[in-house]
Amino acid sequence: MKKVLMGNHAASWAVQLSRVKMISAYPITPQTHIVEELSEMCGDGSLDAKFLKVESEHSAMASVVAAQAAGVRSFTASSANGLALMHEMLHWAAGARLPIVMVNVNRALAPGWNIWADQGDSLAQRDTGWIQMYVEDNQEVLDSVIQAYMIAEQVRLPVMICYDAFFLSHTYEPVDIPSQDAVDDFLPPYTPEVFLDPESPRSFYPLVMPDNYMEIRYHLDQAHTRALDVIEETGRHFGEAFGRPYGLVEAVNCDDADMIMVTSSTITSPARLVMDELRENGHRVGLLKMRTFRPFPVKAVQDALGGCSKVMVIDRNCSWGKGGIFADELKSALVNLPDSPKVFSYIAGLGGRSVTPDHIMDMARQTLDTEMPSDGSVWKGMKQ
Amino acid sequence: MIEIRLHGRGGQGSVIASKILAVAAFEEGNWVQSFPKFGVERRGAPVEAFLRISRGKILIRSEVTEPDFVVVLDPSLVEVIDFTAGLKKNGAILINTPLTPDELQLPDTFNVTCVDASRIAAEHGLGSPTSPIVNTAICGAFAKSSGLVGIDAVCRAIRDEVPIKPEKNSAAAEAAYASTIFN
Amino acid sequence: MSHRETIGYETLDQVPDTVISQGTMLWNRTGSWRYLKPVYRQMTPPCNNGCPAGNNIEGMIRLAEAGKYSDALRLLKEENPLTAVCGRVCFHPCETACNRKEIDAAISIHAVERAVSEHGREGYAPHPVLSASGKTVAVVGSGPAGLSCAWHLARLGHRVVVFEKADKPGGILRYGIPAYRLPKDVLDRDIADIEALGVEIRCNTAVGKDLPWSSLEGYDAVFIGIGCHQPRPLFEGGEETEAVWDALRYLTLTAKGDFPAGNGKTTIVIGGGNSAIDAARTARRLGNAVTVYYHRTRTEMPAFGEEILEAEKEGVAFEFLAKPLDLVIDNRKLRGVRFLKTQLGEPDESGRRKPVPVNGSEFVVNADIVVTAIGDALDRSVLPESLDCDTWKIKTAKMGATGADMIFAGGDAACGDHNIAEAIGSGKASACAIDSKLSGFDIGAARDVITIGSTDRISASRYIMARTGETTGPLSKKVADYDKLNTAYFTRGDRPEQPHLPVQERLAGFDEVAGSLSLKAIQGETERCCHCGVCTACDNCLVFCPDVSVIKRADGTGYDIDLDYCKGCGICVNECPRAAMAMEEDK
Repeated sequence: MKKVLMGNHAASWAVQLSRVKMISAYPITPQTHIVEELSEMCGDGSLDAKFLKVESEHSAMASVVAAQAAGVRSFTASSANGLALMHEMLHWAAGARLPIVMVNVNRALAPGWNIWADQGDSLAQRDTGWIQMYVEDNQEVLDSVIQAYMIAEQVRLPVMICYDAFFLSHTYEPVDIPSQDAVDDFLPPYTPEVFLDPESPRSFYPLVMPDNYMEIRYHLDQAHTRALDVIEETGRHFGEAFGRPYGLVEAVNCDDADMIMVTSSTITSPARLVMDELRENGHRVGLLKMRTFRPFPVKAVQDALGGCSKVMVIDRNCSWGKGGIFADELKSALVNLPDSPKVFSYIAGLGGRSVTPDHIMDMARQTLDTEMPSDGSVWKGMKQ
Repeated sequence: MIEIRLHGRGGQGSVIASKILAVAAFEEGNWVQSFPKFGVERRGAPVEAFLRISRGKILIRSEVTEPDFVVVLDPSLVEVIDFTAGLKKNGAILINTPLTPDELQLPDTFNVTCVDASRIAAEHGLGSPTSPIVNTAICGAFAKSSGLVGIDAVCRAIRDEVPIKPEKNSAAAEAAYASTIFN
Repeated sequence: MSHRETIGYETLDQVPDTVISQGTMLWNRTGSWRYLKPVYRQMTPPCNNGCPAGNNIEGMIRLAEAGKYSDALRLLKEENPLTAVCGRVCFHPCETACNRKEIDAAISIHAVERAVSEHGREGYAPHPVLSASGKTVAVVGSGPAGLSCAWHLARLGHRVVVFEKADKPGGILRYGIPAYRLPKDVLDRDIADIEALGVEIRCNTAVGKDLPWSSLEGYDAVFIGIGCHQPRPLFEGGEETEAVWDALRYLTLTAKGDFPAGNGKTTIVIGGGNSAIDAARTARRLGNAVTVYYHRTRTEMPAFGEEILEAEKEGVAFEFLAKPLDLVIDNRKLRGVRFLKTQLGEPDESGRRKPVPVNGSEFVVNADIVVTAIGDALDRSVLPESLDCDTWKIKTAKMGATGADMIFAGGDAACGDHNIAEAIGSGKASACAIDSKLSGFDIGAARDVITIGSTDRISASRYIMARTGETTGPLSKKVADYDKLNTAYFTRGDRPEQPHLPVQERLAGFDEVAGSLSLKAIQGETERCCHCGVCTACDNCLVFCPDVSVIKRADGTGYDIDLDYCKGCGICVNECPRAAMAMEEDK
């Protein structure tokens, strides 16, 4: 069934189709539509789940941790300052190895107050142990949330699906909604071996002494390594089931490219237009969409970028005092390659500023025309 | 790809109008993209919504700055905002007004169509006589004015998307379709 | 218990990847860590502790909150037959004691009692609790003390005959309190409940006047509750003018419709107590211009503040620091009263500052009528000479025992505090004392279980339980004071105001001034109640217990602690909003 949906409602539909049993959330623009729709679904019975109202995002994540530990599939959503308030509990979810799925609608953090697209909120949660994926359009929102449960439950890690405020959250576009039967065939019921059971109580998340802590954390890191394969496999299986395959990254025209644009989220779409135009004009340009940020797909990045001489990265984020975060991570993934490409880093679109094909063409031309990248990131689309 | 910009006031349903038109155009086999101008809307303040209609998938994600078509839902906005900003040469304008295109005296490089959507909405009991909800009537007029979507698809979209008075809203769209005046 | 084992991990693969115990923790009885344990307890709510009539106010509110109005009325009547009366005219010391006043405002307990008395009648029928004893008790006087004593004696299975000198029963309630405060059909309804128990009331029979005391010798016991009705003349020569009245007599004649004076007179009321205010407001309703003269200031007035305010609204004027000297009489006709100005001096034994006359400050106020309300004395002339009395009261030991065998006394005639609730409480105490004498029950040994909270007031329901050998359940003598509550759980609310008749309508007659609260407002008041010291099964202990060791009983009667797992952390006790839990040493 195809419907014209806003990105937030695509997420709600995916949660419903994933037969989530417990939802807990605190409202924040631009995420609120997701949980409003879910609370209506719980209210009218179209989703058989418990909807818990809480007094903060910290409590939202705490209650989702508890529900998932009790053995049911859970969901929450947040954004920006709300996600920041969740921070401590994000560590809990990953450390407890709970396959929670959440949506974060990427929004700038205050001050100045800004409700528009910016990846700084979720990237600041990089080291909490969550899998992080950044998606490009409303169809991918729906598809990725369903895949997220599949991935999360196989490796017992929480997954955060991130997408741009307003550019997806509030934008209507056609979405193919799979049938419940098809999703049921793809995503089996959640049946954890160990869960909080009053009949046979276990001690959950107690003190771990120095003699075991490192080993437990090593397992967590290993789970991320394993997730690299699981994300690939799940994306491939999803393609077989629904005709829309996904992977850790999406590499377009990278094999013969001299220069490759690296993007994430919605900036990817206009970059596709720019790539086509440059190719028509005889430039061998490729595109690498970073769908997965954690675990960082080092091998996939090396495979895609290893052969080219220049890479330009567009970041809708900034690590203050260092620059674009994707660019930085990318450099460390490439640094040990024999003929490591030069990495050109651009920052654009912070706080919801539009990134048009013209802006991207400007960055591409600058990259093509410049021999050596600067050490820091170049800010684009700013007032002169 | 056709790019459309809608001008209205907060509370008049400009965003819903762009969604109705998106649904109608999608039903007729197009790819669509509809979104509000991202801001903090307030009732009565000037607002904008955008609509793109294309045969293929739309990859552009920025706001519409050089529209092919401008729709003005509130007659009073004509005095307040520069609704023709960026409008392409030979672009089209649809205005909710009791006047005719000739009476409006807009530059003759634009194709201007008029519809008295406020009267039609009020006659169909939509909103109040002093502040009618004109968004469904304007959708009907858009079908006539643009030829981009059929009136039947618009009426179906209205019945699917508008929870309140779907039949009256649909009838208002048809009435507006019939009374749209070209220059 | 079962498979407890210590696991040591040798290799990386052995260390689990989740931080969850590898097996059940059922063996780990964390209760073994405990040295303190939580217990449920019942403390005495301050309202119950503050009620001179001994009402179970908290219990009434709980039943009313559940909409069980007839059960609430039944509960009230276990302690006090005059519920509709008290809901209107008691000075509600329960509300003064209410902890809620520290949060927002005291619960409007009197309004709840009034509502329970109105809405609880359906499904309520009074009946004796104990079977007939074959004993008969005479009660002299049918005021609040006598009626209360008669009610409780009848419930205890005794035959009771009440002797009343007036034409109708009720005493001060009938003829002392004006109808605009206590409509007489309301009084009749409470009295009808007492008669329904088989109590016989003989009116127009003044013992000691119409009937000699010796004629009561056939009774097994006598209770005297004749009040204090002996006027104390303030002035000389007032009788001849027929314009100087004792307040009680003034009110009685008015209540009977017999008052001879007409309208439009200038009336002076002398005194600062409730009788003065009653007389003044009554005089306003008879169309008089009224001024109250009091020898101290407003602050020292013993009348209830609310009554003074209502009197002012009705046009009663007040003059303070004026001590009456004598009447100005001209040819047997009252012309006025001569006063002396006073000023406040040192506090007297009551703690109030004493009025000191100012020399040479005499002044005369013109008046057509003077009403004196300076407190009446005990009418010793009608009492048997065997009783030890002074001007004010019959001397009694605890629970109303006089020096004479099987003669008890209560109410205003035997107590210092002249108020209705005290009278009701004293009548009840004497009823229990009389019953213990007649039945041979050792009331002294049961004192601790039958007295309420920190007071020596008697609970009739607990007396009956003790007398019949029923267990009285746990009851702390301690009062659940405000500092014992966890007020985080009580949200602020508003105390609803009772509707009041517009002043113009009030002055047209004796219609009741204060109206009833709506049932919705009553519901709000019951929900506002903190239930200090009493478990309401709010589940806070259950919710907060980190060890899931609070187990709710299926029958809703409360909770049990699973001592296998309770670590004695005390969170449940801390989070109990109403101090109905405590920690005690676990031996």
